[in-house]
Amino acid sequence: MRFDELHLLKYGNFEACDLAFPKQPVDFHLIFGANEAGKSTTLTAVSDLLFGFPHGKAQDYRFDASLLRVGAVLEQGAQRTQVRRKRGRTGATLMDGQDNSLEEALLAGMLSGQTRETFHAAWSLDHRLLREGGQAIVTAKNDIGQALFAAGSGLTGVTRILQNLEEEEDQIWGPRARASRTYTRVERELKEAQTRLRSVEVRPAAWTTAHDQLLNLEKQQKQLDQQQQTLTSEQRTVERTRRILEPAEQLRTLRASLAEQTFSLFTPVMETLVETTFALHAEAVVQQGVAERLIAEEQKHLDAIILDQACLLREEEIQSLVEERGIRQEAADGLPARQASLEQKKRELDEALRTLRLAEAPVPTLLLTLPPRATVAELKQLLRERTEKESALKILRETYANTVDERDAFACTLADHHLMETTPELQEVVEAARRLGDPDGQAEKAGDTHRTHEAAAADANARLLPWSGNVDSLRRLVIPSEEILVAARDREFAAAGTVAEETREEGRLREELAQRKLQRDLLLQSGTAVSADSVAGARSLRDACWNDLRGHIEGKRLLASPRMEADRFEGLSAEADRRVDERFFSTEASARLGQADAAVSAAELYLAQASARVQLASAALEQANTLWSAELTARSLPMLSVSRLREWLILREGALDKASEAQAAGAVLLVAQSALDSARQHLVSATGLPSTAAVASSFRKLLDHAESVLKTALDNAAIFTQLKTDLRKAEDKVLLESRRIDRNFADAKTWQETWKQVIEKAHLDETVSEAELDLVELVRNTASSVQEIQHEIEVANGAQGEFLARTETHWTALDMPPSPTDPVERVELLKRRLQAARDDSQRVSAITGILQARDEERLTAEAKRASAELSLAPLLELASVRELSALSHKVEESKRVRKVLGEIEDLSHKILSIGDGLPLSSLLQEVSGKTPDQLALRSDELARDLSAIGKQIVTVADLAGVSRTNFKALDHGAGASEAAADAEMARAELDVQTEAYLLKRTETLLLRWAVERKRKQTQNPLLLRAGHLFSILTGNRYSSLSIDSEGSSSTLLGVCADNTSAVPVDSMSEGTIDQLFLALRVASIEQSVKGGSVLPVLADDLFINFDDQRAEAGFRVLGELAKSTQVLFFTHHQHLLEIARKSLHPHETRICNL
Amino acid sequence: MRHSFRFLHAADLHLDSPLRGLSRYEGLSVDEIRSATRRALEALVSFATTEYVDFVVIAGDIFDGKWQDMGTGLFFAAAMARLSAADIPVFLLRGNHDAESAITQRLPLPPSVQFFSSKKVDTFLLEDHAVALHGKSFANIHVSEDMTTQYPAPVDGYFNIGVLHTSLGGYALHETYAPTSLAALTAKQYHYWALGHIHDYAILSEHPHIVYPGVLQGRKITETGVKGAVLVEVEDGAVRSAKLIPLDVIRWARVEVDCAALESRDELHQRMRAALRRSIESEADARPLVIRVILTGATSLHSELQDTLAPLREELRAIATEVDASLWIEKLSLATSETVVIASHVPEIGESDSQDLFAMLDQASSDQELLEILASDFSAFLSTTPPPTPGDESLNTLVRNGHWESLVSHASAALRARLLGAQH
Repeated sequence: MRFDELHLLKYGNFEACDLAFPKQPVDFHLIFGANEAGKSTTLTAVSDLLFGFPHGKAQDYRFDASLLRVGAVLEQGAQRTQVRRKRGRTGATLMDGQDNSLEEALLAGMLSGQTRETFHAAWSLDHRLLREGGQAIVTAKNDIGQALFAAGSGLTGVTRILQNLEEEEDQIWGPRARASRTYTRVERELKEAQTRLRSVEVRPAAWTTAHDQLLNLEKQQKQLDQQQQTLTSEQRTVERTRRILEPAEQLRTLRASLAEQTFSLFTPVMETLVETTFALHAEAVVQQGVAERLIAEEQKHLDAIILDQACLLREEEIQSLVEERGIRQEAADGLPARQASLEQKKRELDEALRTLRLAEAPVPTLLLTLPPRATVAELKQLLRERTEKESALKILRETYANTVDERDAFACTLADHHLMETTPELQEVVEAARRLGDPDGQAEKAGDTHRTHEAAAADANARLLPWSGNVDSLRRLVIPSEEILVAARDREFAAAGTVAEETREEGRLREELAQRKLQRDLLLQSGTAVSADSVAGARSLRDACWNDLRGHIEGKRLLASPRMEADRFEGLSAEADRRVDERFFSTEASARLGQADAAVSAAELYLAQASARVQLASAALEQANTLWSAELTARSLPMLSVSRLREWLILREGALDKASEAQAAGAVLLVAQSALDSARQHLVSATGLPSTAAVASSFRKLLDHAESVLKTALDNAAIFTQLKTDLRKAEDKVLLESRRIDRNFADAKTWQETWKQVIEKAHLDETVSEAELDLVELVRNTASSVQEIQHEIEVANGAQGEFLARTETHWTALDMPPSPTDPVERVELLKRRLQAARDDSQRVSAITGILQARDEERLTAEAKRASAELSLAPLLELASVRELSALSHKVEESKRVRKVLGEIEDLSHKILSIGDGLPLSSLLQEVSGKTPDQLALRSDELARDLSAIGKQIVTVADLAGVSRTNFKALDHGAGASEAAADAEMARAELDVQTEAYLLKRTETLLLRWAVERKRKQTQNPLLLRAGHLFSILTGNRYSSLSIDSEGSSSTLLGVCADNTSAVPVDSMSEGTIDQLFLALRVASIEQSVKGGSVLPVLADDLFINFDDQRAEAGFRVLGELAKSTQVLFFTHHQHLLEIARKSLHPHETRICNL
Repeated sequence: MRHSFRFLHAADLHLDSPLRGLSRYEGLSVDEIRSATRRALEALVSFATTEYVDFVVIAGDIFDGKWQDMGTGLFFAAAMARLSAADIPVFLLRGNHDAESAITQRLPLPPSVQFFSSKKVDTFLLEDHAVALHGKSFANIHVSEDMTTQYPAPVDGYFNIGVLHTSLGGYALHETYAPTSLAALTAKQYHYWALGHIHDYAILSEHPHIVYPGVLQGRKITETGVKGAVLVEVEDGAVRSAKLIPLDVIRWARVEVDCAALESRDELHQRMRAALRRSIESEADARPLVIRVILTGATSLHSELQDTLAPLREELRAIATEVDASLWIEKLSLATSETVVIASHVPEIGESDSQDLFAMLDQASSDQELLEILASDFSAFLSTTPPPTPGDESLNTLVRNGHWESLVSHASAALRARLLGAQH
């Protein structure tokens, strides 16, 4: 797209200003305008036209905002489009020449998707944008910088990505440990856990030593304790002997005193018996006297009482009358009521007889003619049985019919059913197969496990590269011991570390030497410094020439051309003097040169020394490697470094484990597969399937099939069996029902016979009903009641007469007065007389009882006295005395002896109480022959011995305590296992961090590799083109551009014309920087144009820092660009017009004036 | 004399052996992890005492080599004391790991706990049940001969149990761990072979029973699934059942999350969440579960996942904590692949350059120069880092085995995501 015309219709200060940019081979248009002429306004108008008026800014200081208009005639290939833009908030602001709305897409298509910002950044250049771009390129920070830098690398955003990656990997691991790094942190955790583990883990040697020491000391402790116990025991014996020595002596004295006298010794019981008997004897004498006196007094009272014996003799009869008196009175009162009841019953009886159509008869006769109660009951029972049997017969007949129908139905079903035969073998096979569970799955699982283990084993074996071989050969390898490994590793680490360190030092010194040399060369090339060597050289040449001349003068040698030699001497002298002078005048520079020379020499020396050290270290490393290689060769181990071999040994262990696991898995697989095959074969043969099915079908399918076959057969057999059972049951049932009906008929016949017998016995009609039988019962009951009442009345009348006769008899016999006559009153008077007689009789009985008791007391006392005297008789005999007083004396003597014996017993008890539980005889034996002095001496000895052994015990106990503490100190609880667990956790996290670092670092290296490769591949046409333009713009001061990709960031360099040196951007002058970025921008635009984005380039006074020569070059560059796209160059510098014309000659330079 | 009884067969306790592969992070119950093997032993003792088993057999590798703590042995002795107090005899056999420790030989144990000798085959008779146990401990770490040849003939009228620590695997001369074969074991005509050493539960034969109970507590990601001891029920002198009793206190599992057709990070989170939930329901059995999550399948997020593995691991841990506090992540492993052609993602600007770059990245893994650069650059790093855990499929392992191309392949994917992100 290009501008053919630009119409500033109403915009800023412009009104109806038309600028024409007709197309020409070099589409370069220079728009000239002095300050305030409106160059910036024109540039803004172009933007507003293309992208619309922005909201915030307005060029409405002359015209109202709504009137603002800017237009253009745009060309896109052969197509010309007239557009206008008005200011507006919303809606279409783009119009055609007739102010008709146009679609924004029209312009968007021409602008190749550019926005205002991208257009400004890429196509609209002014000095500020160039500077910003320059700064961005140096730092490669913002979008512009990255875009421009990407122009160098061909990639977008790689710098930032690289930086991010490096930051990320640096956060994980770095050559120098830093606490903030995750790997370092985890590594530290691992080391801490391992250190903790080492510090607290129990060491077998230490454990064994501490354990043995403790056991030994505990044994010593036990021995000393036993010794102490022996001594203590003896000491206890001695002390005991000392304690009982005195009471034992007393005991002996008392025993001797008793032995010297004779005495009668009663037992304490006997003594008490004598005393008690004496007391009983005295008491009995007193009691006998008292009893005799009381008997005399009671006899007097008895003699004063006279008894009513006649009354007392009839006591029972009188008492009987008293008791019967109430009954007789009550019977007389109830007689009328009984008569009325009798009449009522008789009427009821007559009524019942009439109902039964029986003739009236006396009650006893009637009761005899009626059928017995049991017969009536039997008849009623027979009637009820007949009813029950009739209903039962009906039910039986119905049941019989149903049972016959059921039997017939089963018979039909069974006839239709076909029996299938079952095979027990199949059943056994299926059950056996079921017990196997899921052999398919087990075999498959075992197969999977085996394959997995095999693959793992093969994989583990493959990891052992460069070593190769089978498992057996792997096992046979002789593995170096840990000591050998540690020693080799230490040798290798030490040698490699020295080589690395010395190599680094050598490299550093080499760089330093190169730097020194470079500094010296620069000083030399500057020409301002003269070295001492240079002066010395000149002087040396001069002196050599003088020596020749001197020899000639002295005649020692002959010169061919003395004059020429003299001239040469003068020349050499002058040169030497000149150098001395120069050196004098350039003292400072020369001094620096001298220092530089010295520094170079020193650096060379240091470098040589470092190289020698590197060689020595390398030789040592080589020797270590040789030794290690020999070790490995001897053991047929792969040629690996010690650390790698350690890893390899771990891999070997893993490979061996995997191989073992694979073998075990193989065995499991074989067993599983064998079980599966066997099971399938059994199933196939049992179900009759073709033998190929054992291979073709899975166990589950075969089992399902066999189960299905078996189930069908079993179901069929079950149904057949069930039907047969049902039919048999139905036939049994028919027979049963038939028998029941027969039994029922037999029962009915029996009943009929019984009925006839009973009815004849009852003299009743055969058709008698149950109701009539009830009425017969009623007649019997009523007749019985009448008979009973009549009897009661007769009995009552008889009893009353007898009561009167008995009263009269007793009244007369006791001489009672004639009145009263009423039998009840007479009975009352007889009762009172009987009571008086009873009272007298009771008093006589009481006195008689007292007399008997007193007599018994008297007899008791008499017996007690006799008994006491009888008891004392043997004691008198025992004591050989006759009198009771003599016996008392003997008892007192016995008591005294007993007291002595008591003292002896107390002493014995005392001795036993302090005798440590030993028997008395042992204690007395122990004391025998002992003296207090002897015992005291032995006691002291024992105390000393015990004290000594006590100290030994304390010492050994202390040692045992220390030993126990030491042993216990080995126990850190679960500290070590916890530390081991922590170490494992840290190791796991370390694996994760290692993996993360490997990935991130590889990403970094990969991206660098890709970028470098691409850079090398293409060297970027854009960079080449920019370099070429930069060369033009700088008048060939620089030949090209390059990018230094060393390190984490890339740097843009200007390659000097000599192609041997390069200048970084920050070392360039302001103007050169402007030219560099103009070159890059132009190259970028050219690339865009080649890519199809053809837009006008707006350049606003770009040549501020350009001198005329470079401004001319600038116009040439822009002119070249204008051959492919339109360039509108705005300037207020008059002289640039001439330069432009000159530069762009012979093409016409189109100039527009604002 | 009873011919019906029950006994517990365990092996490979590896007491106080640390769990491997778990990094410490917020939410991880460190104490539970540290004490897992001890608690598993406690579970074994509790089961034996509450179920009143008649005796216990432990077929080697009680400890994990040298003791780190005295407490390790004391803890084991205390556990044995509990069994002794419950009148449950215990028969112990030293495995290759136990042979490493001199202290183990001197561990004071109750009289009802008996070690099989390492000098000869011991036979212990349990008269109450008519049981004869034959076994020989490892005298050294490595036993290369078939020890079963020294085992005696079965005791007539007794239920004969052979106790052996073996890697099985045949008669190769250089087998390290008492090699033998099923045929050799069967030929002994014992009723039951209580084996140890292999860490997976397996019933290798039922006539006679030849059984590996597996490790008591899984300790790394290769020891997944139910772990415990085998409860053997003998009825009338014949094995009626031999079933694995879960006694582990922490369980290990591998979970694959299919990322096929995955298009967003949120969707990935949902799939991971769902997979973790499924795993908890199907495998945890009310125990803490340690999971290795492996992302698989072709997804357009492949490169992004490679580049953001570290944050993704944190996201996964957060999701695991959210799903269940007892769900811990051992590792997040990427096994995804790219779905679409990279070129279709390249924006218009700089298209050719980007295409060139991506083409280079595609070819990078075969560029010898680059691989040498990597080998040289990483030599310092690798010399300072410890070797990876054997058998772990990590980049570290690959690199140390010289598979630089795998590293480049991973890094290319990650870098591609980063470059695309930058251009977007």
